[in-house]
Amino acid sequence: MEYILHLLIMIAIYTILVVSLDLIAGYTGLLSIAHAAFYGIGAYVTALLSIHFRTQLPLNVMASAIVAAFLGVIFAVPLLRLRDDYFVVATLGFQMILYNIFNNWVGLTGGPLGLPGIPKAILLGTRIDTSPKFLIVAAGLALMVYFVVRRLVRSPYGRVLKAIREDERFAQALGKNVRWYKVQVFVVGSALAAIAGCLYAHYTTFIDPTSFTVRESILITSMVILGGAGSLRGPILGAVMLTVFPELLRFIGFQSSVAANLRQVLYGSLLVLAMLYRPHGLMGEFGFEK
Amino acid sequence: MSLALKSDSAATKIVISGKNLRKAFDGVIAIDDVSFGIEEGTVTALIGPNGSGKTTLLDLVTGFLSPDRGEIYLCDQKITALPPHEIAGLGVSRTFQDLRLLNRLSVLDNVLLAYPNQRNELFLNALFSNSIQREEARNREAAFQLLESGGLSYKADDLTGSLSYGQQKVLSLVCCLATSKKIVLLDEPVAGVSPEMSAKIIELLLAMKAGAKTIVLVEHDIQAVRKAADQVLVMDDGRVIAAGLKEEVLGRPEIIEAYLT
Repeated sequence: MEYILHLLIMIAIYTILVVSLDLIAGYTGLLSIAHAAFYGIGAYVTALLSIHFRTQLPLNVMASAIVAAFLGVIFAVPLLRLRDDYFVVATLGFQMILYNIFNNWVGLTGGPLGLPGIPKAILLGTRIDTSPKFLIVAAGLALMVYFVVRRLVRSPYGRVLKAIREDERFAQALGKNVRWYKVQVFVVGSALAAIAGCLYAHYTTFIDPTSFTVRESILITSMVILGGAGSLRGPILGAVMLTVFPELLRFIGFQSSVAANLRQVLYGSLLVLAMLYRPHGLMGEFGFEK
Repeated sequence: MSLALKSDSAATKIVISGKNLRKAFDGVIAIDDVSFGIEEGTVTALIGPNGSGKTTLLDLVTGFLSPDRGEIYLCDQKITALPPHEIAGLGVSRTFQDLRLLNRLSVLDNVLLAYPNQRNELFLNALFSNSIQREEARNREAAFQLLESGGLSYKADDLTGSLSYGQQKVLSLVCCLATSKKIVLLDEPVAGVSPEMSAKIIELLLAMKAGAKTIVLVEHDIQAVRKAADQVLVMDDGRVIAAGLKEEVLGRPEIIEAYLT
């Protein structure tokens, strides 16, 4: 039972990550592989605040989102003038910079040893110290993020985002300030990703840089693409699949060391198959092809 | 060489003008010292052979390119090198030669996107406003009417990519209309469409003119130019080589021969 709860909690956390990345990549067409960096920002902000100041969950959520948004602005304002592939490479660079900060600023982040002893979340005076309680909180936040993004993409605002994805110049000719929309979306998506990081830090009570690597970014991106970028349910399905599927490998009887490697092969194969036979993902309307 | 359009009456107002514009791409001069003025409420055809700089001129005026030299004015306001969305915001709408419609969105969505100053295109309103449905309903009704006038309302919910080429050209015009800008620049509105569609588009164009819009069209189709234009501006090799009333310019056989056949 505890194991099932664990999987559900991870699915809730990944739901926040894929939905927020979908806003950036699926709806607006800005393929970012820096998402794990913002996820990490949320985790570190939460860890530091709650270790040093015993702050409560709502404050941690807000602080994580605000710090990530701030970094998102610093990144987005100069770099969103880049187009397509160049932008992807820039996000990769940003991801690497933040990973190196997590890994090397030992005084603040504990470096490779990470930050142990993160207190359990406290919400309205209640310690969220059991898995069922935590699942309720995580699912609640995931739903909130889902509905925020859903409302955005189904509004006239979302229509502008899709226009930017489809043809920037057309949107500009109609008077839309494309660059400003891109900055907004990137910042909002990054701030939402930090909320996932906040949950993760409270949940595991220990974080280190290995959770926020390029590989993690690629995993999140894979979930979005596999499920179907530019739809909302698709990426969530992707998150469920890529969380649950590797676990199944354990039951087939592989040793955990083999299973870990096999997992990577599996992700890779799934992506290759998806691109070959289902380029817009399982439930998506749109692929990344231009 | 620089030629401004001469007008008969001093009362006509120049709404768009360029002075000594120059633009080169990697040393190849696309626009070479071009000056022009477009009168309010007229239809001006911009003609010339392929590669003569017509589309580049449109891109300069709409901010998609910025000139190496020279100035562009909207009435008395200098708009040189402003970003495209700001120029659009000042009242200039355009279509593209390659249309650039959103093929994977519905026909209706393309038109809805064109309405200016939508409150709910702002982030906070999109999240918190309760007027989204009202604004959408109003625009949707207007969009349907525009689509109706272009004979496309029955296609409103179809994907734009499923329209014929001619229908897409009509749609790009409808989008232009929905922006309700006073100045409309059209890049080859009838090129490559059937004669019936072409007639339909010219009809729309003349309706736009009747609606007191100022129209500039790049076009190769002489029939369309004869039917729709008041003024003609002839370009060749990055320069304006003739400009004036349609009757004068198109009365010159060498121009017909060289640029419109």
